[in-house]
Amino acid sequence: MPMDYGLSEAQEITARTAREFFDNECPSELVREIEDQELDRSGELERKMADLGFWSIAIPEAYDGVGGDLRDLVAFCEEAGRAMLPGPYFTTMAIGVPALLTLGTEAQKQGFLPQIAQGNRTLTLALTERTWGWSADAIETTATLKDGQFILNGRKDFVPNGNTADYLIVVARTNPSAPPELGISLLLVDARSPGVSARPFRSLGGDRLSEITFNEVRVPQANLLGNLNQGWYQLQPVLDQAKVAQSSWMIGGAQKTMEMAVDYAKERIQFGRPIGSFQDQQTRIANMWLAIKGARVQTYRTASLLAHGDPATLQAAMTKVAAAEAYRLCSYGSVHVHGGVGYMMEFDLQLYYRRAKAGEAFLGNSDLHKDLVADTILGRD
Amino acid sequence: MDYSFTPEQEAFRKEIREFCQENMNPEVMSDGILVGLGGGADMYSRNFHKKMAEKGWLGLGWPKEYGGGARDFMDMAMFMEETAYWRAPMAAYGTTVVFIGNAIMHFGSEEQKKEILPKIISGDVTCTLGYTEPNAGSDLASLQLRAVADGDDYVLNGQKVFNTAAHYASHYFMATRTDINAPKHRGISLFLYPMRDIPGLTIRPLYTSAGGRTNEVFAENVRIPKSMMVGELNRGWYHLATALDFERVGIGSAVGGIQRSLDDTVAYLKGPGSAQRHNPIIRRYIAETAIDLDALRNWIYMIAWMQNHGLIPSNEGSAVKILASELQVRLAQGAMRLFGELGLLREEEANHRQLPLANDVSTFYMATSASTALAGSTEIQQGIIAMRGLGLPRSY
Repeated sequence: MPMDYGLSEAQEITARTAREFFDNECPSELVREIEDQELDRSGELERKMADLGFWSIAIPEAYDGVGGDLRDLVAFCEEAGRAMLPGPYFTTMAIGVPALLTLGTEAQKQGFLPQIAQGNRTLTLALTERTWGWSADAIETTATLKDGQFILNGRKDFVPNGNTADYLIVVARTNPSAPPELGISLLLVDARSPGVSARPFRSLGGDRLSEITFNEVRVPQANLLGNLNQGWYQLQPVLDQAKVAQSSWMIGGAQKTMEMAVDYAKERIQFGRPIGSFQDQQTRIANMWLAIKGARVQTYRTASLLAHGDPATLQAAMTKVAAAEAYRLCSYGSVHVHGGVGYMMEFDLQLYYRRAKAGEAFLGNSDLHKDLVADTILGRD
Repeated sequence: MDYSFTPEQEAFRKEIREFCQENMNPEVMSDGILVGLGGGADMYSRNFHKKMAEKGWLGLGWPKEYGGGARDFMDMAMFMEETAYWRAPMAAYGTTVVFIGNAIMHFGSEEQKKEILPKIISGDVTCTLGYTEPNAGSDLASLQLRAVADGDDYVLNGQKVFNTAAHYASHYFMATRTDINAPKHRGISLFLYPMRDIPGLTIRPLYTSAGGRTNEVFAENVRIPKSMMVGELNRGWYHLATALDFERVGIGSAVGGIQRSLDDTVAYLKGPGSAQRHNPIIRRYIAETAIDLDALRNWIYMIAWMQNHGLIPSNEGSAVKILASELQVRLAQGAMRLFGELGLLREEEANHRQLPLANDVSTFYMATSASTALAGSTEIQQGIIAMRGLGLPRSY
């Protein structure tokens, strides 16, 4: 394929269709409504999304998807992030699907992907525990293999969609005597299994996160995702893909806040002139534009690498930092431009501002990823 | 959304790299002179320039009809990146080949194209820009140097400053005022003329704090033929605005130089400076620099892609100028912190201690002291993005 730094025609159509759909079906009023619900998703919205094929993006046609790859998901995710799409779409499509495609057996792919593509099954990742960290030594939940099944015990915390997703990809310790990164496995756990108990709580980001306890939960051996004890390493390339999709999601939100700032700067008159005619505001807004566009180019580049099957852990880390920083800069900058209005609950900016923070935190914050970059360049020893 | 390079592009990159490694030797570089900010790529070597001419690399991106290599903007970006990485003496390249060559191609007459472009290709023409004046910097449109029509000639009177290549270039690309009654943007015309030993032109050196050289220039009744006007009478500002977009892209190609500085710093941290490798503040600094550099590189290739598709990178050109200059400053300041007292060493003492990198650090520190102000300050670039790009009301 020839070099192409823009969106392909198919990606443009996906983005345009998504924009129209979200403008009509997912206005900020719905986002606010769902924030107040414990079951923080809209079945109706998800059904409409299924009708338009949005759940089948980047799922191969062999599994009832529309085909395509991470890049198509990236194009879609910018629009979803712009609309602040609530519910389990991200964890299902940006984590669950790549995990199944990369690590799943044929039976697992056949068992899950067509259901996902129809909007009938959702997934999330249950990795973090009480210490919250994203490193292997934070994993204390255990899964003991016995008589053809795993017995799962432990507690996960801060799990997005933990109370609504159909299946949990649980990151569990299957060999406690091995070094932390070498004794971990990934299990596909039916959320309705006896012994699974999710307690949702509100997050600053507006969604519900869950504390999930596993008490002698039986998981069939066939639900091992990837190889026994190799789960930690096998998960990282999957998370690289997730980080790229997440970056695009954050860029979508950042873009919206920048547009709001530009519009307001043109309209708001003080001292007899629009505030957008003051140089400092121009500087602030120009820097917002810079940050977004740079992060977007990095996102596309990393998506391109991963779609070509190249490793991109370093680039994914860089991209996530850039996108999170862009979202932070833009949401903060936009509040600043708006003045007091920007700070009000009834004004939409606070929705974005909170999501910028939550987005940075999920899958590891910018400090963690900067450390990853430094470790890669300078060595860890 | 495909950011991969083709095998041909990778092969070209390798070719450039090998050329630099082969030709940046003391013999070829024996005629190198410092220009501009000083240090690194701000050198000119006629030998090296001619070697590039022999490779056909002086009109790399030009159409074949002008003797060019007909390579696209992506190849040009790679060329600028690689030569900068190896610190090749490219001082004449950016201004002459990229900037003025493109300017002539876009709004020069057919005679000018036939006359000048082949000589740029052969390395026989090098150019200096004559824009800035003591009273016309950011507000370039207020320039005053007069060009008055007189028979078949124009007569030039006035002053220019910070004309970096004026002490060695063969030709002057000068912006003049040809109509003092029109609004300032509408009374400017451009000229390209042979400048060495032309009567009435006085060139005086100005030395930069980094040890480089620029010039102030005095024109007293300098007479040039009317045929040397480039573009239309009194439309020079508009030609210039387009040409400036090319210049900014060229500056963005400093990504190669910045990557080189970062690599040198990392090598230092893995070698003589390894005591600091575990310092979390240093590690954070390296990470942030690498992330921003990664963004800059992708910007530049995105711009090349835009140009390949006939899109004009106006805001994007401004963006890379801002990002490249700020990154250069941060890198220079970070390197200085890392080196501590050793960063104060100048060439003689640095060589005495067998630590030539220390001289690079102190030179780089000085060379970047004005990076964000020159060649279109950060404020000017932000203004272009905000007002031209995003449509915000004029702040000035």
